[in-house]
Amino acid sequence: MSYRVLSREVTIPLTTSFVMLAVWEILVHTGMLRAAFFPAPTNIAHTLFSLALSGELWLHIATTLGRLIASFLMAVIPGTALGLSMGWWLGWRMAADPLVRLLFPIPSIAFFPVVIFYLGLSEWGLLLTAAITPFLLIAVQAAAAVEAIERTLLEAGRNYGASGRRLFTRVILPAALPYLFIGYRLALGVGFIVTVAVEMIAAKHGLGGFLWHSWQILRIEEMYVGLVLIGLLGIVVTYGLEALADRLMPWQVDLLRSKGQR
Amino acid sequence: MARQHSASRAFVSPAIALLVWELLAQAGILRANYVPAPSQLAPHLVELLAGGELWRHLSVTLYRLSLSFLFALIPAVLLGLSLGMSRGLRLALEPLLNALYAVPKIALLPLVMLVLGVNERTLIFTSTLTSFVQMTVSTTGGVLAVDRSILEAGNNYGATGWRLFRYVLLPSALPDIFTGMRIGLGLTLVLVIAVELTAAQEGLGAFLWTAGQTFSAKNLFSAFVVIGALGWTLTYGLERIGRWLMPWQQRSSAAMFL
Amino acid sequence: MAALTKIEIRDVEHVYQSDFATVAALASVSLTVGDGEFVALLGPSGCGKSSLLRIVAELLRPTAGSVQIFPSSSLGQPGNGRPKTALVFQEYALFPWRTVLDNVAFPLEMRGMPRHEGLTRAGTVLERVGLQPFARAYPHQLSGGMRQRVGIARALAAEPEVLLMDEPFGALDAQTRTVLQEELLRVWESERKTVLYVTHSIDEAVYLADRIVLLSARPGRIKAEYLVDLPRPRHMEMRGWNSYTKLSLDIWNALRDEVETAMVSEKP
Repeated sequence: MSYRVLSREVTIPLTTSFVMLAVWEILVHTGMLRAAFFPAPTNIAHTLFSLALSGELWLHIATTLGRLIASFLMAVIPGTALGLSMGWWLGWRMAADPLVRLLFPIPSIAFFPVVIFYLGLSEWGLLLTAAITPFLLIAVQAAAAVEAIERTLLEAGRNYGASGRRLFTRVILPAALPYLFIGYRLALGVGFIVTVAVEMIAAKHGLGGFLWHSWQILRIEEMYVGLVLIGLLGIVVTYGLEALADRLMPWQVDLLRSKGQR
Repeated sequence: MARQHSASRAFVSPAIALLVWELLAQAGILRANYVPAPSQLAPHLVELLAGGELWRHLSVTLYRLSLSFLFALIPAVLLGLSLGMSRGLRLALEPLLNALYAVPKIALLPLVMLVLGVNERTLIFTSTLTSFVQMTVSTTGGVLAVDRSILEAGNNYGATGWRLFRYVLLPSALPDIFTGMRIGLGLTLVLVIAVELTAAQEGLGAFLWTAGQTFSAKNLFSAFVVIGALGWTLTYGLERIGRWLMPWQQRSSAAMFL
Repeated sequence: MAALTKIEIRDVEHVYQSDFATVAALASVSLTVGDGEFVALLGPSGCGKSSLLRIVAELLRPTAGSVQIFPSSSLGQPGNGRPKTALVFQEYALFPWRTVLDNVAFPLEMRGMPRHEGLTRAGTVLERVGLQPFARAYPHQLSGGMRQRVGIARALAAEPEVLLMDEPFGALDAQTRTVLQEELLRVWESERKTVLYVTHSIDEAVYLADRIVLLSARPGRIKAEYLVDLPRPRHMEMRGWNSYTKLSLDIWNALRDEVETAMVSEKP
């Protein structure tokens, strides 16, 4: 497995990225790129390190990460619970489904002004805004997950003695997990976008706030640092959960492919 | 027959929710200037629409949205198709594309504003980029996901080269391409509104923000409803169009909007 | 051969609603299965044989009629927590998140057996189907044939009164199928459980069963019954015997009309 790390899949992208950075560096030094807009990568790296040393960077990273995790948890637990209930019990579905379908197409950021109208410009306001659409997404996916479970798995569960709550915890839940994760990935992605957007609009701390603030005071290198960190966090968010899912549920790759999901 | 039942039942709980809201407002439990009753909001909304102000904001937002989408559409699909079909191109461009895909485009806004200035052009550029990245990634995915055996069958039965592309590859990849458009529009709308919230004079986002600032709950809710309606139209309207365009797609419920 | 009745199916009917119409899947089926008998249910597609099996498994309720399974008294106390049926599925229906051993132990776990004891017993059953080395593997790592052996192991581990099998080898290639048929018989010989086996392969039915019940096209009813007069234990050469061939041909002639009927009226 460790030999794979040096495969073409990894070396070519790394090489091209490195080459592009080198080209950028050269263009700046030869004056072809305006340093005011596009500072040399080496300068950006330098700024990154000094910010890291001063501790300021960690504050922003921790703040954004904290908000992301908090809002995600606020969405995941109620969302999964609601979605699974909707999937399993017709009553819940009839009651909640229309409301969920009504709310989830609303652009997530539009909740922000409404939320702060009532909660003021506060941390809760931010977290709540970042949690709403993910919550709805997860609920919809969880409901669909229940439907997607293979009939025969349920039959096997029942035939071999599981019923009621045990059928739920021992069969339905594990069988639904791969599909639930699809919802979680989407939700995390949306939550990230909203968190960054709201931070840029209204926060002082956090990577979004840092990014915006740097731009406002025209500290361009710091702006790039912010951008890079947001990018890295974005990569972790987009691909990290996917990797986690693959490790937790190695069978799901076949499962989802057979259902045409990948 | 079961389907008809669920269609009419789809309105029951929202109707009940509205009713409860109205009752709470009438009973004075909800303060009128904080949470106006639906019976107050409806006429206000109609007034705003009739007066033309809200239409203006709506059309500005729609303009930004459609322009970005249209600018991005053809280049994105073309690039996505190329990336899907050429391994070399993919290896070269994928790192950049994936990096862009992972970054919320709103984070690119300061950089773009630096280079292009704080104006409409910047907004359109960033929104276009949003649509572009999403649709390219989805299109590439769609091409890569095409079943090998379908291509072989097409080839075997006489479709080669351009015809294989047009009659076999493209229809196979179409669902994913279409999904990319849907997601792209959704993300772009979020971006446009986000920018409008603080950095624009006109547009639904701007109107929404101002409503909050001027403490007008009625304007706030009206704007919210219109934005919501825009979201619904996009989501469910596109779903309909998708089903019409691609009747062979099974209703894969687990991938509702994926 | 079987003096005691094990399963009594009486006037079972099954009608259901599909998107398009009311479908009568089964029309008044009555059948008695003796203790230790291996009965094959044979019929064209859509004849309701899978539905009948699920009704016996109590996964589906008949629209009319009843099914009774008589617990065996030869194992000491009748009905001492042993389930009535264990179903082996065509699609294996193994839990992908559990190891092979955990899958086999599942019915025991559900019965309330302490984990340690359950795993030990499951291990023993796994050995009987020759999969002990794969105890820690996951289903997705196994081939189709191996997965079905796990499915069979799970059913055996459950210690049911009756073993139900729904075209268990239908998803496998012909060679694997042949091997597994032999395996099944070998494993079955030692215990001689009562088996209700659904198939659409005449060859499989004749090779495996004591008795073959032929169902008509939808709505399914019993069209004919055949006693398989071949000695046990069965072996491959019997497939070349005259009596084998004659029986297969007789059944095919009876079945052919039903198959054509089924094909013509093929509805989703």
